[in-house]
Amino acid sequence: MEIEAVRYQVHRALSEVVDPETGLDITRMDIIHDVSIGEAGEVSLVFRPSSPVCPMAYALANAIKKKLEGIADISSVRIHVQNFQRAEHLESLLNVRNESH
Amino acid sequence: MKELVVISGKGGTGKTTLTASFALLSGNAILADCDVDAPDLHILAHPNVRHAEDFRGGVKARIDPDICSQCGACLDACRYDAVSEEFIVDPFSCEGCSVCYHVCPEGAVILEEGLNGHWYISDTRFGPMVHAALLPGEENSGKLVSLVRNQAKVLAREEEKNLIISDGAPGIGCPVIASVTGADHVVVVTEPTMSGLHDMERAMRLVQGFGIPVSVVINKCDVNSEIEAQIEAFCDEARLPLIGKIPYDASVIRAMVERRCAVENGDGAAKRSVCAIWEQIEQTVIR
Repeated sequence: MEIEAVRYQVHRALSEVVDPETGLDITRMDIIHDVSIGEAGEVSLVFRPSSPVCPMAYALANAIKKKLEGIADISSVRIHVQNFQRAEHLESLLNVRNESH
Repeated sequence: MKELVVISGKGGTGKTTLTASFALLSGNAILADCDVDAPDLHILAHPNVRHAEDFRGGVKARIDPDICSQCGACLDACRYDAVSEEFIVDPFSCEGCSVCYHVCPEGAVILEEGLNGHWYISDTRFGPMVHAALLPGEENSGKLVSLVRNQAKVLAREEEKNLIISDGAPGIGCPVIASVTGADHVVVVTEPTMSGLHDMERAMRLVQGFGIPVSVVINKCDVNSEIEAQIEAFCDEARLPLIGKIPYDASVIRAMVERRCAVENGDGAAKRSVCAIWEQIEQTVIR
């Protein structure tokens, strides 16, 4: 597996997630950080909503996870949530889904 | 990174004047003009646009005359009277609710993304600025404000600035809510008039509802001492910090006429007050 090729796919998938609040794709909003891809296709990234009270945080995190899980070369997706009041709760929901895969 | 937002409730109390002065005094901030319905900060900031983009925040209905059977279902269902007897949708009346799309038995209604406005990233004499303008009659100003604030944050990170100063919208509606949510501090600028006091109270309740730290400035404080005292009493009772009072000063008006901000003309009373207010903000909010 070519990690750089997967990185390109990850970026392309993320650019298809549009924030309904601003109408911009999320790669332009500086809310995704520290994307790392392991040899076995395990992806982790930091999701930092634009506001600690972002009303779209849950929907966006879910959309990000779904998009990335749709990439054939990716074996798992772990999203760390920062700068959000309910980060722990959101992460727990995302991780439950992660563990069930 | 800290985000300071200036709002007022009532329009015309001096939000933009104060925001521009803060921007000049800070010397190292990103500016965001969140008054997208009637933006004015650019008049004082003299921007050179480096990036311009369309804003498309909603949809408008259009009826395809080749498919439409003129059954009238859309005409009956539209709450905004946007559909004419000739089955043409008036784009100014259409709110994009899509009811017509769902009730049309022929599938003749098409929802099209419309152009709602434009947004910009500019270099100004105060520093980089994100600003925008809705087109006449267009909706979704709250979304456009969210976009402006987000891009101001992106710019602040790119340019390693640690302060965003936002000129908020008047009123207490969607664009104001979008201006203040998640901000670090809100300054409410009011004036000693009945409407200034009334609208300040409403704006204050809105900001406090979001749990955002807030302080008050009275502009043109000496034009009505009775209402000035009422504003002070309100702040006392609500335990709101009144961080400054700016006296009426004709040099501010001359500065506005010359497209300069209040702290750029002479050394009048208004300039001294604004500088003192900024020092307080620097010490209590930005430090």
